[in-house]
Amino acid sequence: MSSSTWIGGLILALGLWISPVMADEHGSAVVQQLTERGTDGCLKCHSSESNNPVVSVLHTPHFMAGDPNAPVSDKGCEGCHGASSEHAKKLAEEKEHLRVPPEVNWGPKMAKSSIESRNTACLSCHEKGIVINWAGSAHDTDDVACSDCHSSHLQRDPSLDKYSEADVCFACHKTEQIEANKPSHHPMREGKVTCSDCHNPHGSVGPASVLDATINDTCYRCHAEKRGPFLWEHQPVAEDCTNCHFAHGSTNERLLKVARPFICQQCHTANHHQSSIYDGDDVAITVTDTDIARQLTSKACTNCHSQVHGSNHPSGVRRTR
Amino acid sequence: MKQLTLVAAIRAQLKTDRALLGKVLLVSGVSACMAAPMAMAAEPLMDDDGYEIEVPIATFREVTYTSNYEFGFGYLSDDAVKFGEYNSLDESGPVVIGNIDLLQREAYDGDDHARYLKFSAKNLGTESREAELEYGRQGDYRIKLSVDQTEKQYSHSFVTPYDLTDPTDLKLPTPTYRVGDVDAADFLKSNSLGVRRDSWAVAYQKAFSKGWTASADVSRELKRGSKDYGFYAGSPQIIPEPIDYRTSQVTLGVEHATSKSQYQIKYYLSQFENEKSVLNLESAGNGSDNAMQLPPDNAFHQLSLNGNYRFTNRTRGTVYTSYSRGTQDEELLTLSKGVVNSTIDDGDPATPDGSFAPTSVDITRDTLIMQLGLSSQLSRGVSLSGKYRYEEKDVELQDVAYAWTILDLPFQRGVAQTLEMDSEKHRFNLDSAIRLPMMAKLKLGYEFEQIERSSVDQEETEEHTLKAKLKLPTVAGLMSSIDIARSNRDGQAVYDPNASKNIIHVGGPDSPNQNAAGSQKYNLADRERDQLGVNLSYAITSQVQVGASARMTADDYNKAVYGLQSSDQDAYSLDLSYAPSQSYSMHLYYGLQDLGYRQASARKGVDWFLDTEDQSHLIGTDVKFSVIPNRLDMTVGYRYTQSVAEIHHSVSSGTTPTPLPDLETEIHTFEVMGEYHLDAHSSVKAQYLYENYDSANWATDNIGPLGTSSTTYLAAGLESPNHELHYVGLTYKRAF
Repeated sequence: MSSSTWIGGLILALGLWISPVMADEHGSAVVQQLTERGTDGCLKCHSSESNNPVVSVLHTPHFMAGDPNAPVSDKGCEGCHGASSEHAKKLAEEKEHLRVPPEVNWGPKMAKSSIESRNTACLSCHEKGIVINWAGSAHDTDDVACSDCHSSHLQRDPSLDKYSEADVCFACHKTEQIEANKPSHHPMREGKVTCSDCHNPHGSVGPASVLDATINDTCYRCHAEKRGPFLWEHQPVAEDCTNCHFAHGSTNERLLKVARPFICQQCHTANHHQSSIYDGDDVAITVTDTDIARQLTSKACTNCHSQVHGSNHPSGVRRTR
Repeated sequence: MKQLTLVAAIRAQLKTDRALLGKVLLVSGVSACMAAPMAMAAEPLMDDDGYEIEVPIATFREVTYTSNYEFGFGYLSDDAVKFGEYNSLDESGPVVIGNIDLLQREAYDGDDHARYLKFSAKNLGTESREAELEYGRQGDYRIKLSVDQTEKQYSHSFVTPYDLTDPTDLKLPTPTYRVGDVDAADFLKSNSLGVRRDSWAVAYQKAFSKGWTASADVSRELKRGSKDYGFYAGSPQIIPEPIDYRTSQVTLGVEHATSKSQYQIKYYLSQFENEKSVLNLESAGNGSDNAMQLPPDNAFHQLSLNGNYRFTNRTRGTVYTSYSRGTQDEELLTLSKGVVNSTIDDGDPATPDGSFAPTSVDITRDTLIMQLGLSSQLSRGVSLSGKYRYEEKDVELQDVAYAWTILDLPFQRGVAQTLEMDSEKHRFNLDSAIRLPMMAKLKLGYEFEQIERSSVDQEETEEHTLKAKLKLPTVAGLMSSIDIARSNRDGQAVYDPNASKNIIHVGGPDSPNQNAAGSQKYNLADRERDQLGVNLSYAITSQVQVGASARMTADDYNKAVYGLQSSDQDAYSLDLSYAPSQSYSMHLYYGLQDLGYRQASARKGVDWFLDTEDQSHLIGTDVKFSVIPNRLDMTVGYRYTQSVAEIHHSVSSGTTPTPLPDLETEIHTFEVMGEYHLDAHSSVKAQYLYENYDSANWATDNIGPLGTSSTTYLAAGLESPNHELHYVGLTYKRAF
């Protein structure tokens, strides 16, 4: 490399190193103290008929006084929001726009604190259990705040309700929303399966934040009959269910990526019926039933090779038994 | 002053809640939960001095009630298997609606018990009902009990000539029926096809001092019914497969968490039992007696350690390791059923001798996963992380080579060598993130994955991925990001029949079962993958927000002469939200997913190609508004889904194939719901739903249950779903 390339690279690296110093840090620069009145003082302005209602928070786990770890047992609202003496100060109406936010503020009407500040307020208690793999997770590195999904002031957090959780996820995961509405789908719309039945949005050791360490182990939680091990495995099946199936929804039956027999023909090209052309002359819509191709219609290949997920039959080599 | 009074009133009410909780616990019955609040709800909010205060009804509801129950009736206008696929509303007629949602916690300024109780029961009037009860002392322990019932409907008109009296021994009617019998319609009977899952689960968690927690989860699921199943003997037949599964799962865990480190040790057991392990049947194709091995019992044990440790405030290490063992020792089918005539190998697969001796195969599959990670905040805005993962699968299976023949299908025979599909995977990730001004962020990453497979023709693959994501500065409410990634996978060698070690179908390169020279299997093939994603979100005002996104993935299997050649997966979305007040909100969304695949094969010296274009549109809107403030609330929703898969063949020479019809589904769903509040704690809800489901599938449509010659097959008469229906519901809801 030429010296100019080295110098250019050095300048770029230095720039990237220094630029974060200029990065914004939201939140109040004002030093604040804990308020004297605590929650009562907060609710004075944040009642249900105010523009910033939070009264329902009193029915949430955060306000269980008997739990020594609950914020209310120590500092009330300020247990999460930080010291807020300046925020709670009386101000004349014309000076209301000068009101500073609490030390840790989630918005929406005042400047939000940094993602780190907001998430630290939650993680200082919650970084365990299902949140143990948060650090470095997809949502963490994409700057997703806990409050982007969770509504901690509500009696019932929609993200913790099986029937509304998917809508919370779909607010960002649009592709999955399209797929979940396709004709072949897991029963998410029907409320019988939800995103967190397979994924841990707080991070996991598996790919795509699936609950288990591998995709297949996650699928086998409900589809244990396909786990095997079998006498005759089907290699792509044993390796990754998503080689052939979409997880969220498909135009094709059984969540298949491509209709049978064509998905099979993407690997099986032998000079036998595996490589035959099955076209519009082979379906009942266009021909009489004597010409219907049994390799194309109904279950196509799996009309005969039904043990496609693995066979435990001594003659199951071709997955027909 | 009024606000202070309100706070006092809230406190008073919460104390009442505490009293209620005690009552609920003592009576320990849901009926008590439902009866007690009726008296409570009649009490007005009182301040400390006993004066009744005027509180807006919305606030009153919010601070007073935490629970509700809802009962009523619904009516479905038409039978519709697809509509009731999972919700059990598959038959026209009335249905009981029943939902209970109870939530009681001790008051925020109460004593030191912190007890809570949650109970919910949904869809009580259907076959897809569920209930969950959770009780605990927050920060101390909790116990959760749940039951769930889920139906999956396949068909109401599954046609078969078989006598299903014993679903594991399918007998043909007398006089003997055979596929192709022209007068066979007399034999056919229509049946419902579906499975039902019944499950229960118990979960217990206990916190101990110094950050220790122990937990135990136990669940069991019964899955029973039947689903369509392919079987071949003389002719393919779609038959009902009996399902009678039991899956038990146990998870035991211990966790220790401090501000510096968190660790979990878990043991997980999943045991699958199939009560119907063999399906005996007389073939409608050739009359032979057959036995099919149904999914065998299996067990899976896993011990895992998951944790992380903060070396400093800026540096953290993570560790995960697990050891799993999957086992399967189901008794193999006996030879007396005439399904196998096998001989054991003397070492040379081409000259097998002896009998296939084992009564079971006693397979184990051990999996070891080790993952280590290190992340560090190098400066205030620069972070770097690395992760290495090792994954090893080791299958232990009796090493047997034998000749096999399906006696009723003597042309189905060969010599086979059992395969141990072992694999070893190494994955390494290196990621960095740099914070930039105005909430911008740059992420750069590299990923390497290598998989070595021991089984024949499944060799090593290596994939390198470079990725970058730039979150652009937030300007005037506009947030945006762009991400790109490029992967290159060095896959298996293109298929060479002369060099193949594939002995499943021994017979050399001339065997019709050898893949075409130059084939690659797509999960192992050389591949170049390019990905691009763009996200935009713009808050026009505090009430109006628009969003747009695009995601594109292009895969090029550049060395595969035959097999999958390329695939594209693109998705686009637009959405608009408008929420001028707490009582009015509107959401409008549109999504398009476009999937494309090109594959190639060869038949009798002619190359052919197949292009699949699979496009789906989703359009919907949800509107919530208050017609009469605090009295009548409405929600209106509409959703339209269209999925179309176009499939086109082309050939290198000869006659152009006839196009296949499109696979097409269109669904319109319109729903309107109104809730009229009779008073502060009771309301009446009315719901109307209309759905039009229109689909066409050449794989099933017009096939009919049977053919008119022996060249065809028994197809069960499954048709693609089509329905137009109306559903109305009327319920009474009471809050307490």
